[in-house]
Amino acid sequence: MSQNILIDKVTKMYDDFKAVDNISLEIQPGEFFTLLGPSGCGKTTLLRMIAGFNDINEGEIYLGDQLINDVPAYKRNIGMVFQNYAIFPHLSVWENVAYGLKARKIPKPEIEERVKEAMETTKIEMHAQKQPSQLSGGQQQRVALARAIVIRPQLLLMDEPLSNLDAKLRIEMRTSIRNLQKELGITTVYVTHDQEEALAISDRIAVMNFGVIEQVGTPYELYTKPRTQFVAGFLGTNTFVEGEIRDGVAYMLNKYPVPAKVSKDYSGQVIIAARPEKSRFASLNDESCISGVIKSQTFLGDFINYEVLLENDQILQINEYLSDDTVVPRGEGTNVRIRFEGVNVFTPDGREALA
Amino acid sequence: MIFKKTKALKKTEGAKPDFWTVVLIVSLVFAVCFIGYPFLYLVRNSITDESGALTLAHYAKFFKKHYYMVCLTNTVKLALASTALATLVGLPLAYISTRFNTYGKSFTNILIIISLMSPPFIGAYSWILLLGNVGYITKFLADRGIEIGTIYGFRGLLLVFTLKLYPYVYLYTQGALQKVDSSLEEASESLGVHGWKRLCKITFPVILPTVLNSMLMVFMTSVADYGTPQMIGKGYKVLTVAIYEEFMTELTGDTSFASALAIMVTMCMLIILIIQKTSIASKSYIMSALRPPAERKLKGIKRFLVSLPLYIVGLLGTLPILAIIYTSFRRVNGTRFAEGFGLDSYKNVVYSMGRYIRNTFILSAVAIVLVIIVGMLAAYLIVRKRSKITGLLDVLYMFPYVIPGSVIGISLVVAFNKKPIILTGTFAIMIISYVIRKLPFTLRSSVGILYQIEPSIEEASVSLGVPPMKTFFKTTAPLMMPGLFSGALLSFIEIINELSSSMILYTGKTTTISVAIFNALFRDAYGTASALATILIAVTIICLIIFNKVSGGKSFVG
Ligand SMILES: Nc1ncnc2c1ncn2[C@@H]1O[C@H](COP(=O)(O)OP(=O)(O)OP(=O)(O)O)[C@@H](O)[C@H]1O
Ligand SMILES: [Mg+2]
Repeated sequence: MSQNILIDKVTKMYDDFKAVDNISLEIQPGEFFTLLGPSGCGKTTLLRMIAGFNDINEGEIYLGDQLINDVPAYKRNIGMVFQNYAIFPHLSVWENVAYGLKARKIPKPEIEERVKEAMETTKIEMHAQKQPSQLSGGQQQRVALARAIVIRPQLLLMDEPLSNLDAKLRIEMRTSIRNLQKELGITTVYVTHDQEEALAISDRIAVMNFGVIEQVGTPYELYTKPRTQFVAGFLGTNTFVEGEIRDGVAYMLNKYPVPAKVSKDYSGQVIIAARPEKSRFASLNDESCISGVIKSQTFLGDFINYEVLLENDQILQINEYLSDDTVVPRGEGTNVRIRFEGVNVFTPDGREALA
Repeated sequence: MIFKKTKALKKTEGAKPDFWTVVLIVSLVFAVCFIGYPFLYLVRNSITDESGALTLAHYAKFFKKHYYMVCLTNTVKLALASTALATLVGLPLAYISTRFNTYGKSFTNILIIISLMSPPFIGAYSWILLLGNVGYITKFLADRGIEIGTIYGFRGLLLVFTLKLYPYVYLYTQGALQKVDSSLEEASESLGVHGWKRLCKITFPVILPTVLNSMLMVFMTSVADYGTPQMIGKGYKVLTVAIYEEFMTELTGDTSFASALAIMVTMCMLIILIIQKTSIASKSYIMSALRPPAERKLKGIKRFLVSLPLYIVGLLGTLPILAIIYTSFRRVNGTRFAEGFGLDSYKNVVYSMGRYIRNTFILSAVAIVLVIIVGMLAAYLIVRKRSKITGLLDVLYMFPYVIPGSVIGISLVVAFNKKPIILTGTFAIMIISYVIRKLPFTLRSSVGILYQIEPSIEEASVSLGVPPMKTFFKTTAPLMMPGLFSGALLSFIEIINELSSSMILYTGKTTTISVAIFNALFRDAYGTASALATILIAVTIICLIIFNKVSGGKSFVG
């Protein structure tokens, strides 16, 4: 029942502004696929094109082998969960969940059965007779989910469904959404601007920026091998320092060699991206390591995060893990040198990864 | 692109057009046919002569003839005086009732609302009953040798309009005063500004826009009213009466001059509206009070003195209604009153005028249902499908707000009294005039309500497989209804009491209660008129009680 989606060179214009610019994607059956990007990058626009609420200016969208460009939204059989839940306030929880089934003229006993099943799956069976106004945010979220899955959609779409919940509930809900999705095996497109949420929940992620896709891949691929400076900056923390490639070796600030397998035949200016968890303090007399002064330190339990003012006046973050008790916090103003266990290297415009 | 478009068209199955496109076309056709076209026709009528050539002669006649200039100045003078007096009465009363612990607050409020809801011409008629040449009070005083002069003319008009219209000022001001957060006044006190000074420097400026708004409403209502001046004005002629008389004498032939007059009145209304939109009245400083100001607790004689004005004015406003009810139960002999009480008048009415009662309720019911449906659908288009065309629709539907009822009536007659579409004399034309007159109110509140409903509610329904039309009726409409209901009820009250356009449009077959009352009065059938008026008042009060239940006793305005 789960379908694959093919998005082929799709564009959405608002007057002259391209909110979605020539995007192509293929999403596999049963996959949990996330659109991730900063505010205003076109995630919602693309999602609503799939749902049928935005018309498509150019390109084609296929659900299975059906071209759905001109299929009206109500005929697409796509479940959708909205950011504000969009629970029908004049209907009880039970009626909300049964709404889509009644529209499909399904016999009453079957409606009863399927509503019950959906409410059990989403753990809201005890709220069946309540009015939406009597529910908490998290409960409303589950009602929205139950209402979307009860129609057995070919595809489930979610637009920032957790952004109105508090931090703790967000983590709890994202796990249950993930489990539910795997249990039902339903192809899901999920929109969020929260990179941590995206990493935790997705099979694959498309990182978007300014209406285009920067990179598609598994969370691991995106985190370890970002293909553009934007992706590197958006997922996790990275400090971007100028550098140079000479004879296949990358040098930070043109002096300090860093471990990067430069794959391409490239020499010249580059941008080197260093993550705090891959940066280590080195011996002060190791002149091959970049030097700096500690500006501030934050104790975070399992590690200490330092901000180091580099010799070129840039701030670099570095994490020191408290894996054994010999680690002594370094005070502000301490001179340090830093080495890297791995870095990413990009062309000066940030559009291409060199290592 | 072009290729894609045609491909897309072919693929939409069948030739089933989108529901909202159909609604848009239908509402536009309705608006153009019954609002745009008749009014333009009226304009055309006013600037052409019998042969159809362009001329400004009709407007020139207006400005040249002394009689019409007198009508114009009379109209303005009356409106200004009524506005001033209504404000002088309404404003202090509103202040007293919000800031002091007057006796029986809900009772005085109900008195005031009842005097607002009965139609002005009935007020005029009952003041004639009380103060006319043979009125109850006139006779009572004459028996004791006191002459009070005539009620007809300017004095009577001013009395009726003031007592009829001060509730607008009162209710609006009361609403505004209740929303001024007390911290504002306390801040002023703490800065050393208190008493009268505080009132003038803080409280009044803050509620001023609302007060001005209500004053403009009073002004417009008194300019547009036809029944009152017709009944009690006698020699004091105003424009609406002139229009009516001109129209009736011209009816057989050329209606150009009546059209010109109608356009002139509409222009006056438009000017007032523009003043309102551009002046301070369009601004509102009113906040939702977190802490409404507390009432001053007075005791003994002070409390009594403060409550007194509310009772005097409230009872004065409802006195006419009592007079009518009293009159309706007097025994009659032909058109003359006899000694004692009985149900003669009601028997008469039911026997010979049952049809008018039925007409009124059927027409009003159909009209209000249409108003709600058209209002909701048009509001949806205006809010959710915003475009130049829906903007035009909004303007067209709001336009009748500034057109006096009699002008709407005339425009419909001149536009639809000949082929291809003849509607004069039908129920349809009455319903159409009621619908377009009351639509602006329902439309505005529908638009307000729709802005509060998240569009994602509709999208959720659509994504669950319910097509747009069904989605509207299963989600949006039920969500809008509670908010619309109370406003619609007030419109319903206004429709059953409607006179000015009915007077132009009715025929023997389509007579309504208001028209029948009016005609009965001209036959001096006071008993019949009173019985009919009592029926109207009773229905009005029943609707008000329902309204109060529904709106939980919340404010009647804004
Ligand atoms: N109806 C519209 N008319 C004009 N521009 C629009 C419209 N809807 C969206 N846009 C523009 O399209 C761009 C993409 O909007 P979209 O809502 O898809 O962003 P988003 O990625 O979902 O952002 P967020 O994370 O803030 O929800 C934005 O720049 C927005 O201003
Ligand atoms: Mg969005």
